[in-house]
Amino acid sequence: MTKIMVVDNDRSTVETIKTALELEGYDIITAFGGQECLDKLKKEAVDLILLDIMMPEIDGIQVLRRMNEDEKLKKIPTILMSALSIQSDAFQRSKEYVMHFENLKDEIEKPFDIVNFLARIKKALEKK
Amino acid sequence: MYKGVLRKKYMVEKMKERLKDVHMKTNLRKSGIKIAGDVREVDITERKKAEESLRDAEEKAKSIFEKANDGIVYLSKFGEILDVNEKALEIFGGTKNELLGKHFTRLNIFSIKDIPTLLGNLKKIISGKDALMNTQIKNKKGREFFLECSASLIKKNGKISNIIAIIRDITERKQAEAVLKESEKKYRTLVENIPQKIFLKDRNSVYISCNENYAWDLKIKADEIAGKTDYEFYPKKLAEKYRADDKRVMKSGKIEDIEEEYIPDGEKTFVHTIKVPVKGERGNVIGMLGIFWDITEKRKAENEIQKGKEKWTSLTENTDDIIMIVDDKGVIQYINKTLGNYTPEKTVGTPIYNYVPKEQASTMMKHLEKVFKTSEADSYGISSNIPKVGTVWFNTKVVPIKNGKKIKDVIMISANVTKRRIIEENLKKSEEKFRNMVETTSDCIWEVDKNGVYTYVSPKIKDILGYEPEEIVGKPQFDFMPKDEVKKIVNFFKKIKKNRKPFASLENWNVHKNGTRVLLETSGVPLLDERGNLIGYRGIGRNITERKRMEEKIEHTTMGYLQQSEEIEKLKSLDKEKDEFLNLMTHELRTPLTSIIGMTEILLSKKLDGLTNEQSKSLNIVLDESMHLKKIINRILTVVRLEKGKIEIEMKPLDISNIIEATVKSLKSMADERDINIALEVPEKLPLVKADKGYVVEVLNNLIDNAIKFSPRKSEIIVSAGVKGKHVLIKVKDNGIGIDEKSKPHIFEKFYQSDMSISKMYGGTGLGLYACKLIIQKMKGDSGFTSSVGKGSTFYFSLPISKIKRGEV
Repeated sequence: MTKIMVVDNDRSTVETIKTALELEGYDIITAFGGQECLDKLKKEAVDLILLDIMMPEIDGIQVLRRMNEDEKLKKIPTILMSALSIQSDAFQRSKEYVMHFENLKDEIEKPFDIVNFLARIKKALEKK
Repeated sequence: MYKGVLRKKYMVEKMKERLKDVHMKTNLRKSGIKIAGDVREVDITERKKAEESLRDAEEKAKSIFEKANDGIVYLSKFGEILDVNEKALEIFGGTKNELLGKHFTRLNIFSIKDIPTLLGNLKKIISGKDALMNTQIKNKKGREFFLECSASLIKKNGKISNIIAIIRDITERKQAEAVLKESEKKYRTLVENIPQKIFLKDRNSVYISCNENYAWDLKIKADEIAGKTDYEFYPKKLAEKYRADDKRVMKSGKIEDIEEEYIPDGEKTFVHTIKVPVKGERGNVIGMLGIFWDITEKRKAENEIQKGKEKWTSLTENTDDIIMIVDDKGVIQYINKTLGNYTPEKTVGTPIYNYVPKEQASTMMKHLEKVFKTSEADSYGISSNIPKVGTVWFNTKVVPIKNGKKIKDVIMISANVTKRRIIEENLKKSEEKFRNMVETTSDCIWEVDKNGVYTYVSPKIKDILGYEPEEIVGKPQFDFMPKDEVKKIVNFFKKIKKNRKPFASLENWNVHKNGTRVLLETSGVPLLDERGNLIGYRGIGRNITERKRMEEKIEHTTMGYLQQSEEIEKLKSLDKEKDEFLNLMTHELRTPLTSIIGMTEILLSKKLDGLTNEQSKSLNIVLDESMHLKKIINRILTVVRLEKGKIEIEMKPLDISNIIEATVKSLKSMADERDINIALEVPEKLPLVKADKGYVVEVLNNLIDNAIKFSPRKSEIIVSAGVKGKHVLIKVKDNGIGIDEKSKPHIFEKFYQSDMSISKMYGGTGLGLYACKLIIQKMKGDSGFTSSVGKGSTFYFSLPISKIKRGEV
């Protein structure tokens, strides 16, 4: 069963995504912060990570960078999520640090259209 | 009788010869040489021969006696005349008979005073001595003779028998001697009287004689000089020199001309001496004749001349000037210098006019002629082109050389004034330059005296203060200043006059003739006389009224700018804050929207069972409004980015008809809800446009969305497209409420809605049209609308036609 980790400090968002994905038959692990994400990744193998950028303390970018330092983790496909406009300076500046990482598969702007969202998840998993 | 004597004498001589002969023969015999013949036999023959030759000799002697050139007189030892020859008869002037037997003193021919001498001589002869005497006679015929008489004894057997006297007629000689004496006398007179000194020295340089003139110099009498040498008259050195000269002359035998020192009286003089070797009979030099004369004066004169010459030479050689002597034809007689190719050798003898240009030559000729005519000095200036030197300017002075009353030549003294000329010309040029500068500069040059009264102002003053220079010169500078300025300037001048200081950039208000105030920026330097006393100031004034105004304006503006830039900074920082706020706000707004939209969609996806129709309807409203909120947030972000130019558009060839079709399709449900029909009027094969697909969709969406919102139910919206020039024009026409005239200018403004109530009715942020306009602008298109209230509006926009044609993509 495909295991997806959803990482966001906004609990409602995590719950919404979890519900939507579980309805599609995915096995979901959740994390509400960067550190929790990294901790859980040490214990469990996942097939895809949905990672929010703007999180307190360790943000999504830092998580990606730390993952990149680990031979196993750096291979896990990851989709960046943000409530910032993808075209905003803030998003683009943050992305600069990680855009060359091979495991970075997609960027999804929140709020999203569920249909479109599920299609992109599927696509990211296919690439694997 | 004396024939016998002569014969005897002859015989005696003959005998002597014979004895000699015999003796010789004897000797020969003794020596063993035999001589043929007998001595006796010889004797006989010889005697005969002797007798014959004796007779012969007697004849000969008689003939000699008679025909002798001298008179011969035989006297007895008492003085009686025994015989005379023809010559003696001629001298005595008588016949033989008259003379014979008479005593010689009684011939009445001798002067009585001579007789004792004659008798004395006779005694002398008798006593065995020869006697020689000269005497003068007057014979019986009255002729006078000078006679030289010699007499000797004729002895016979040891006893005095007769006296023979030879009388020679020396009358002619005596006469010649007299002439000679006369001549010698004349000569001596000459010698004594000529100014030259004459002396005669022997081979050893011992004086023999001298003339009185010389003797006088030596302070002796002429006859005292004999036997003396130069050592007795001159310093040793000089004497040695004279002696050496003498020796040389006598050795060489050649006449020498010597100019030498001579100190007759301790006073040094110069003499010219001619030394002539005196030769003896055999041509050998036996002495030396000297003749000399004083040339001290001549020397002096020569020295003077030499000095004059030297002066002239030194003058002509050392001067920078060209000195020429030129005759009345202009021919150069002398020139002191070589000029370029023109050496004195080339130029002397040629006319001076050859060396100057024609027109200059005529000038030169005029001046020369004038000098020759008036005999007054003249001067002129001309130029000449000298090979290898170039053009040279000369100032020439012409001075006549007077020879008596007539002018034969002139001296021309030409000073090369080329350098001066160049300097003068440069000065002139620079003066002209300065003048031009003064007169053309926009600044005014001025001079005032020590009281501040204008002594000069350049014509520019007219442009600055409106006065002519003549109106200003002579008036105090304070007359042209406003009253409040005068005090300031008076004080200022008091200060600088004390120290005679220059000043710069003094701002000084003046009053224009028309009454306006003119600000001058003035700089000046003190003018001092030779003793350093201040006589005034000279300077330059510039009208800076306008500049000052500009400066003030600029200052003002700059201050404004500074303030503005502060504000800008503030604004920038505010803008940044706003951006950050916007980012945060959108993030914070969108985060809950994610769950709202997400969860609503999940609920509506029918994957969850048990949803009633009513519930489903309610959830759809939640979803619609959530989506609208999302749109508003997105539009705000787009507008912000468009305003900052931060939007990146991707211009690609697009098929606009497809886009229109798709957009209309997506809005169909919304239109259907309001019973609005959207009609498409899009021709086939429209050219491709160059635009960003996403933004074109957004604009189109916005316009159609608006049209739907502002259209009444059951109306029609027409979306059309067509080519217009280089663009494709897209129109969205509705039959809505229209836009009133008041709102028209503001339709594309940010946050503008023609009626705020409308937004309440139809929704919308007012950002739509503003964003559309910005986007179309960005895509190099145009946008606008036509509208009339109650009839509806047509919104349109254009997009550039792509160079790429349909089917090429």
